Amino acid sequence: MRRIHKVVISSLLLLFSIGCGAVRGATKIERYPDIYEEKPVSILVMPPINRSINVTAKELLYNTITVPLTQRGYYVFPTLLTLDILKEESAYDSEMFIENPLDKVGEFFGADAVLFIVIHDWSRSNLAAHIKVELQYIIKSTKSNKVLFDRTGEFTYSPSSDGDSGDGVVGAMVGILADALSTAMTKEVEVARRCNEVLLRDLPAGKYSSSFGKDGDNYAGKESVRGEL
Amino acid sequence: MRKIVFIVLLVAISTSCSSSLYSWKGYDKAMQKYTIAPNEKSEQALVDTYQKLVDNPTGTSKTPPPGVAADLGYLLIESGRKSEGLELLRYEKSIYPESTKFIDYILKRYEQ
Repeated sequence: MRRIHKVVISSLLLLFSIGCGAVRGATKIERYPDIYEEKPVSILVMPPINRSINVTAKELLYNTITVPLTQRGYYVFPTLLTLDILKEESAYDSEMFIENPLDKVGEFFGADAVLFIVIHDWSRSNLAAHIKVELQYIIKSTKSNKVLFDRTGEFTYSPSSDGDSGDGVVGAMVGILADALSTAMTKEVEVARRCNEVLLRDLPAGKYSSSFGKDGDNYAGKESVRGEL
Repeated sequence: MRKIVFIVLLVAISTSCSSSLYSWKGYDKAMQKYTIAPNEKSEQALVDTYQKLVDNPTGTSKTPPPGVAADLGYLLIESGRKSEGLELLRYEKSIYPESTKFIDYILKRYEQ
C-alpha cells in the first residue's frame, strides 16, 4: 500500500512538472523567442500527418486540438470550414506544406502561423490495452517561415489508471470525477485530449489570454516529454 | 488511501494552471460523433452544441470560442438556413477581426 502511494505521489509530481513547466532550464522567452517577437494571433491547424498505422488518429487529433489551442489565447480557424476548404483547394496533404514556404497559405487564410501535428506512433498493445503514442507539434510562421514551437511527446496510457469502480462514497466520487474528466468520450479521444493538453501547455499565451506577454520569464518545459497520461 | 490520492490527483489536474478562457462544453463528444458518423442526427447534435456555445459563452472571455459561430453558420447555410448562417459568419468577424480575410472569402461565395 505504501509503495503504491509513493508511485502515485511521484506520478503526481511528474504531471505537475510536465504540466506547469517546473523543470528548471530555459525560460519561455529564451526557448520560444520568435513567438514573443512575432506575436502570432491566428493559427491554422493543418490535418495531422499520420505516420502511424492507426487510421483514426488523424481525425482524433484534428478534432481535439482546437480547444486547448484557443484556451491558450490563439484564434484558431473554424474546424469544419477549414477542412472543407483545404480539401477543395487540394491542400489536404500537409506533407506538401511542412517543408515549404507558407506565405501563400498564410495569405489565403489570413493566418499568422500554421500548426502541424506529426503522429509518429499511435498503437495499442493487446496486453492490458495500453495505448502508446508519439506526437510532434510544430508551429511555423507564415511570415518568416521560422519554426516558432516544436515539441515532442511520448506517452503511454493504461485504462486502469482511470481508477477502478470501488465501493462506497469514495468509489462513487472516483467514478463521478472520472466521468467528468472523460465526459463519456472514448478512450482514444481522451488520449488525444490529454496529449494536446500536455504538449500545448508550454506554448506562450496568445493575444486573448490574460497571460499574454507576461509569461516570458516562466520556465519552459522540456522540448521532449515522456510519461504516463 | 490509493483512492484518496487518486482523487487529489484528478482534482489537481482538472484545476491546475489556469481557469478556462472559453467554455467548449459538449464539443469534443459531438464533434467526434459527427466525424465518425456524419448523418442527420449527429449533425443536429453538433448544431445544438454549437448553438449553446454561441448563446451562452460562460468562459472568462464571455465570447463564443474562436471558429464556433462560423462553423455553426456554415452548417446552417448548408442545411438551407442561409440568412441565419450568414449572420453568424459576420458575427465571427465582429468578435475575431483576424478571421476577416477567410470569412470574407466564404461570405463572397454565399452572398451571390
